[in-house]
Amino acid sequence: MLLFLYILMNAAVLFVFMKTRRTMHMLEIFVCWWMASYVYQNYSALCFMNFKTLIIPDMFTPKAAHFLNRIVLYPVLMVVFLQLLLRMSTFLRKFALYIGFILLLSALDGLDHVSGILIHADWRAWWTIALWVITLPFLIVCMKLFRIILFKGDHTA
Amino acid sequence: MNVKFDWNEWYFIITAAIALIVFLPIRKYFSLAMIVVIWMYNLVLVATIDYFFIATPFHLYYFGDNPTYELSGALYHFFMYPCCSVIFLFIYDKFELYGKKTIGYVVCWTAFSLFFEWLCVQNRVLNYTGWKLYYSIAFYPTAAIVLIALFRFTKGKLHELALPKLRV
Repeated sequence: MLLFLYILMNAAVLFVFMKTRRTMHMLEIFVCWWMASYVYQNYSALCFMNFKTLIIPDMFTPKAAHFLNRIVLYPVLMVVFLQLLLRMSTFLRKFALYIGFILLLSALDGLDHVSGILIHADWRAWWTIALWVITLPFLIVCMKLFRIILFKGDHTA
Repeated sequence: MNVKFDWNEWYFIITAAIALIVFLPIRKYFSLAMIVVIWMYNLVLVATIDYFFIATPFHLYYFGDNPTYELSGALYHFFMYPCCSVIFLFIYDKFELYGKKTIGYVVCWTAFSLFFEWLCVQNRVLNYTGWKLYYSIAFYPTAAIVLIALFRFTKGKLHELALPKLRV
């Protein structure tokens, strides 16, 4: 049941993503998706396997749900954030979007804890917020760098 | 965590350095955008697969000295696999191993990859705790075919971007 709910949630986010007007090149979307997934997986792996501050229960359902989340839900939401950011014209709107996504991603992290797929042990709530405060600007930098490479580079080779 | 800097760490460094040395002269064959796409794809692919099989509930293998997320494993993810993928694609494209030739090429790379995985196990870089070498037989050709598909897709997209610049 829990896995089914997470499959539905992942599918819904994927649907929203596909319906969002594209403001990024296809290759940009892929690279940002992979980068977002890599960052989130490293955070999860380090906290789960080394620091033991995150616990994934030793059962298939939470493991599969968390697996889906780290390759679809979180990366796709981060790409949606980047797509929407490119459509915002003023700094205030961009900042509001940034705050909104920090709250959304933090709330999802909290939901993972409540549903029992990613239990936070000896955890401070501000650590989750700090993760997104840092990750989202990092992704903006990655997107901008890849934009320069993609649109100013020589691809005839 | 009990990390000792011994032979397996040296093995990680030496093999990753060899892959990087082979990669450096051929990197200019591809555009920087292509390198980034291939690099990022491989990085996330191996990180995803390894995290999936190393962590709960499977615990099928681990890298290095401990079943934790070690720096040596991250080093392999970051340098070894992306460099090898670029080398794989370089030979594929440079010598035009298309069509039926691709099958033979993928079989050869699968054999080489299995041999390299066996070497990693012998050198205690990769420690099996449930995994078997023959499980990998299905993985390498699949990964190679997806990599070729991604390469062709990316090449097409980059060609579309380059076309307006080529127009006089």
